[in-house]
Amino acid sequence: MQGIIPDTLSGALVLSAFDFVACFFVLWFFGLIINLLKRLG
Amino acid sequence: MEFLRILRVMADATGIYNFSAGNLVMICFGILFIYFGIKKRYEPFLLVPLGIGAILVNIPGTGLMDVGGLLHFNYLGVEKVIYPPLIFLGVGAMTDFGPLIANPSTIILGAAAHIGIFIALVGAKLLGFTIKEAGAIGIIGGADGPMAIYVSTKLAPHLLGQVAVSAYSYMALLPLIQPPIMRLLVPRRERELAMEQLRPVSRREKIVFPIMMIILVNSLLPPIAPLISCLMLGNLIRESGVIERIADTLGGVFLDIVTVFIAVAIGSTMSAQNFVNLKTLEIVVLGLIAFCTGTAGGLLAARIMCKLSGGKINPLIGSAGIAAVPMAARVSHTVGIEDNPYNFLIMYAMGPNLAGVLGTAVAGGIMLTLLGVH
Repeated sequence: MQGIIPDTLSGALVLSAFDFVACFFVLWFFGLIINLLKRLG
Repeated sequence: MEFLRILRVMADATGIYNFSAGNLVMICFGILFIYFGIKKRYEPFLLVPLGIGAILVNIPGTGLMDVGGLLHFNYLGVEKVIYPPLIFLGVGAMTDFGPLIANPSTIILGAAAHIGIFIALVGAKLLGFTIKEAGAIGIIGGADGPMAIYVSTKLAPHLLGQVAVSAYSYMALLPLIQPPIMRLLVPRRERELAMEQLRPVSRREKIVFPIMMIILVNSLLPPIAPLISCLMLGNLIRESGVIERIADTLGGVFLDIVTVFIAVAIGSTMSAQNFVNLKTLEIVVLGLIAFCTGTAGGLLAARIMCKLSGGKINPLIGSAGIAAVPMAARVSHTVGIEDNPYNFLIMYAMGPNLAGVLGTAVAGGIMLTLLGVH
């Protein structure tokens, strides 16, 4: 599979910004799902 | 004459004759690691074998790292990405995800503390590294040794040694790196805050959690499936409670043995010809920047959460979001207890600390996907 991020400084900035924001959202989503486990308690 | 020639041939074959200044420098580093491990007790199970590996590979003529040499065989465990999932299997078997399940809001700190990854990534690009090399360098900031090895093996295998040594060294030196940043960024009145008791987490929740995470994480981020699967398998073995003997072995003896192998393997990459160059220095500095900025990011996010929750969260747990389980949580606890002797933060800090492991995995998985690596 070919990467979609160019090997440039702006590519690095885009990768960093996207990865950081995506990381936030994915973890927040995990948090939501984990919160549902309470119902099993 | 013949006798002198024999002596000359003998001398040429010794390690002493072939020593370079670089070898001596790296052996000094090896001794320094052993000193920190034994005298200062900074993660001795990591630093002692790491130091021995560094010394061994810098004694010329042993051939230990040549194809067929003992250290070369051991290094294949790193190069072929066998050790990192095994480490995660052991870590899963010794980890109680209860604090994270009890307080899932702290999972966000695991993301905030990873800002260091991206700062180091951009810094590496500015210094002229390729984007894949920059990604491998950035992942040092994830403070997760097996994940750093995994990602750098995929993105920049030629930098594996530098990345792994930086990640493991800074993880071991966390008690030196984090406290000054914590005292600088969190005012005393916030460091003294006591947190509410965590709710008890049922066995059923703890059993469902690893199964759910295997399905969820592997579906979202297939590139990191080997690591997350092993982490959660180890955890399921622990929480199932029906195979305690295996859980105890995986989280104890097994993990210790694989840690020695991986630490020696990483140490054995520290040969003078690999390490004594400007690139290594740049990677080491970028790694330190990643750790410091990641710690700061976690602390600042925790301060925001502290304000929003009306003082229910002690911001010191934010630095644990950097991963490095359980060292970072221990540092949060140690710094917290200095200002309030009745403040036991370790369990609260384990939440963001475990979130940090997931955060590094997610950041690494997204990076591999965007850079087209599987």
